[in-house]
Amino acid sequence: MASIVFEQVTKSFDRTAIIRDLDLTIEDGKFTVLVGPSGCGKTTLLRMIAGIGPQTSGRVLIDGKDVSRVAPGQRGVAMVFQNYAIYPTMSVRENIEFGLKNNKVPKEERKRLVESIGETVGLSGLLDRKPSALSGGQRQRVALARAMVKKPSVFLMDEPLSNLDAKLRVQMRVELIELHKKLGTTFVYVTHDQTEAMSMADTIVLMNEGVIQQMSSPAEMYHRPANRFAAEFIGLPPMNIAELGPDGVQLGFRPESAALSEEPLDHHLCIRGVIATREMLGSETIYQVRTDKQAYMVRSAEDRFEVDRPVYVGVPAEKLHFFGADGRRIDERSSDVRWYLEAARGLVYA
Amino acid sequence: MRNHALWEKLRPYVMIAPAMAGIVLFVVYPVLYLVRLSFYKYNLMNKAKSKFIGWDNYRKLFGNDDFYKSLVNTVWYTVGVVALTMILSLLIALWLRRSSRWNALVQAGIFTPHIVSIVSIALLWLWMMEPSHGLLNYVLQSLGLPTSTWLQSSKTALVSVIIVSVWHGIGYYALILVAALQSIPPSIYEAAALDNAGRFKLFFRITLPLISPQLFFVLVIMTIGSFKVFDTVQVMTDGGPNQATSTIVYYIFRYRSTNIGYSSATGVVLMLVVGALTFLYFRLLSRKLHYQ
Amino acid sequence: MKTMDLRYAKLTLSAVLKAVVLMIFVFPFLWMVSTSLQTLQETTTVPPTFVPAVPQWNNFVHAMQAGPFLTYARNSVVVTAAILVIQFVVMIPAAYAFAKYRFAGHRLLFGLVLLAFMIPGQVTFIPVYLMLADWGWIDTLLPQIVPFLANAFGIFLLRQYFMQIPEELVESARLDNASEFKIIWKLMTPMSRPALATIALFSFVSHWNEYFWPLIMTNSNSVRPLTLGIAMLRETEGITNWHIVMAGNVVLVIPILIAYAFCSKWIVKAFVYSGIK
Repeated sequence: MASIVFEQVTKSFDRTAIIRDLDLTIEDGKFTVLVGPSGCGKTTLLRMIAGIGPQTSGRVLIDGKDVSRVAPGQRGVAMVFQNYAIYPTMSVRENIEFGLKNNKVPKEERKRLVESIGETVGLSGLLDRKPSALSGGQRQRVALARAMVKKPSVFLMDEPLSNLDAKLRVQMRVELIELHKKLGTTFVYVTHDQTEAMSMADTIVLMNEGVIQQMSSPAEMYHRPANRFAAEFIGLPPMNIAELGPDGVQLGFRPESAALSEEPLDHHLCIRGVIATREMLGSETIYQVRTDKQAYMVRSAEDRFEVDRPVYVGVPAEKLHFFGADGRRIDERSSDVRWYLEAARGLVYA
Repeated sequence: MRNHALWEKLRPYVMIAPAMAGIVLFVVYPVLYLVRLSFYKYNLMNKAKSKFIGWDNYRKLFGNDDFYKSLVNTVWYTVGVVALTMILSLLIALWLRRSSRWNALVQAGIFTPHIVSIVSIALLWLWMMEPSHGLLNYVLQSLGLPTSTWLQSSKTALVSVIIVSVWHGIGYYALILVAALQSIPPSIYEAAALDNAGRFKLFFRITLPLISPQLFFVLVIMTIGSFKVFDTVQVMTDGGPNQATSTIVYYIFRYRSTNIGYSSATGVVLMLVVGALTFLYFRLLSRKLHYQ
Repeated sequence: MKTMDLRYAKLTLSAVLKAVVLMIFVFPFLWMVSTSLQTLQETTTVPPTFVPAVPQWNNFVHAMQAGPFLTYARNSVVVTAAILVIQFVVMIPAAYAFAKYRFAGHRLLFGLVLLAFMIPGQVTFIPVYLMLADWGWIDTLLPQIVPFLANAFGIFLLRQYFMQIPEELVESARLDNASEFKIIWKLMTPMSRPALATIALFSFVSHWNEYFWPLIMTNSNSVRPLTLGIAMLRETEGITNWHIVMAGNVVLVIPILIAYAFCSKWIVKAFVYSGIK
């Protein structure tokens, strides 16, 4: 078990800085998810923890110790790679054993550990198979077993579920949460999928272009996004954003916060538009409502609205978010919010 | 810790050191030494008596008819071997491209000579090309065709050597082209068929461009290989008759102990010619190549 | 019906043509074996003898007594085996360094490897001979072995292969606390078996069959390989004893042909692999 601290870390590739002067503390024993669009630097952070892509400057501390000069194999971390990086010429057993052998664990001990881990992840009968004879899900388990057997103080995972089909992915998500609960070690998990981040994380670290946008619990990130980027990245479909006033302030609301009706609604914000598209998903329906200025996404339990029909979109005051010209969230306790709420009421399209 | 960082820096150099030592000692240094030798009258018995004679070796070389004869022979040999091999191996490859047992057997058969020593091949053909008791003339005769003097006349000797070289090498090149043809995705041909492309067009607009990298590889490897031809000539004809099959390397070989400086100058010329050809190929053809 | 006939004729023609082409490439070897078992008289008859009346096994004894063939054979085996072993020891770490490390000057140094690949022994043999003579190596087997310690073609091919192996595997092994030596030995080498087999085969064929280099580098029979021994048969046996020359030739060729007959599929694949890259 260990906490991870980044202190003023910079990482450059060919003299271009991908990450500049970053500070971050990942708490001990927590399931932390690094999330963001591709190229945002999340994998770079993970590789710095592992030591396979060391920082250009600054310090990385694991459990309070500066590991900048410690070789990857001696940091007490284990990693599950996106493509699993299973050694193709070794059997499942040899794959799991490889790290133990390198760490000079005695043979008896090794055998016991491999077999008990094999049982834990459900590979018992497959230990002597070659990786080429395994399914995608089984390979995933080999990668997990290989990481677990070393009893690392930090688990690193780089998009480990992205190569699985949708059904298996949901199942593995649950298993990973349970695994974390059982082991109680620090998990650092990288993904570009906000659903994965929301469903698994204790703490989400949202990144964009090498900068941390917000670091908080999933609930906090959903209900109080720190900026427009966070608001639009988290949630599916993303938050609707509209221009509000001349000082560049924007307002936002989530598709699921809005109500639809054929009659005008007496919500705080009321917009009239026409249904442009309709996606029926079963338990709910997603509508695109077009006004003469822009389009809004609305998520509704009702599927009775039809395309090309005029409708009203209503949003209550407490579900509205405001963002300043710099993109940052304007706190709902700040005095300006009253002004903006008034302005929002004025948006009614008659 | 510091030692470790130093080792990380040095490690790649240590790992390539033996290989680089071999290359520097047996390729780079000899090339430089060769150039140096070509400006000397070298005395094999007494090195101290070697003397610098400037461009004399080159002057003598370019004033020597035998050298021109060898150069011209080498060029004809190269042109003959490269052209014949390219055309025949492409035809064979197109003919045998479909993977079937029969085709695999024929391919394996055509490839057989390639793994056998050129000495054996040369001796074998020398025997078959024997004018009075040889197999080839007997076959020609029984087919009602005129016989040939093969290696024994200066008119036919070079062509005979070319035939042997093509026979020896063609299997390898045909195999490479078959593999190239088989790696063209069938969907491209299906798309072309939907676009109503004719066979002729199919070959010149799709097949040929798609295998152009392999054709280019064959061309370069074969040209370099042909320019250094020696074994066949040495075993089969000793450069004869009447120098009809003397090649540049054979020419270098002839003077290797009697006139080292002169021989080295010829070596430098060979190196420059091969280098210039390779460079030319890359300049002219690489632009027209289609790389997948 | 007519189109059926035409189709049938075409197929037959193609099969006949294939048989003829196959014969053009295979028959000479059968002819070699046949000649090696004939008497001198049989080799001179018209029409030629295809099947000798009584196989003359003595031809082989005769051929083998024309020179120290056991020595030649031993030299060929020692030289080829030594080259293969040394080349692999030298090549694998070099290819790994060129594929997986970035270091100052790696472009230039790799350029030298490519240069070595382009420059044939026929250009460099004079200076190399003088150098080795200076070292007192002539009349040992070393001049036939040491100049080939770096296999430029092999380094190039293996580097390409190593570069295709995903970086994550190496990183994963480093996280598993494996040393670089272990990564090469336990991971990279087993994974590149196809490339290694191709390189070994190429190297074996070219050095077992080498003629030019030993011709230059040897002055006495005690260090000559089989190829030279067979070529010299022609000088010692004159230009008429073709049955003896062919017997010697059979000794040189048959081991390779038998090996080829058993694993031609595999060998063909390996050679094709070299050309497709």
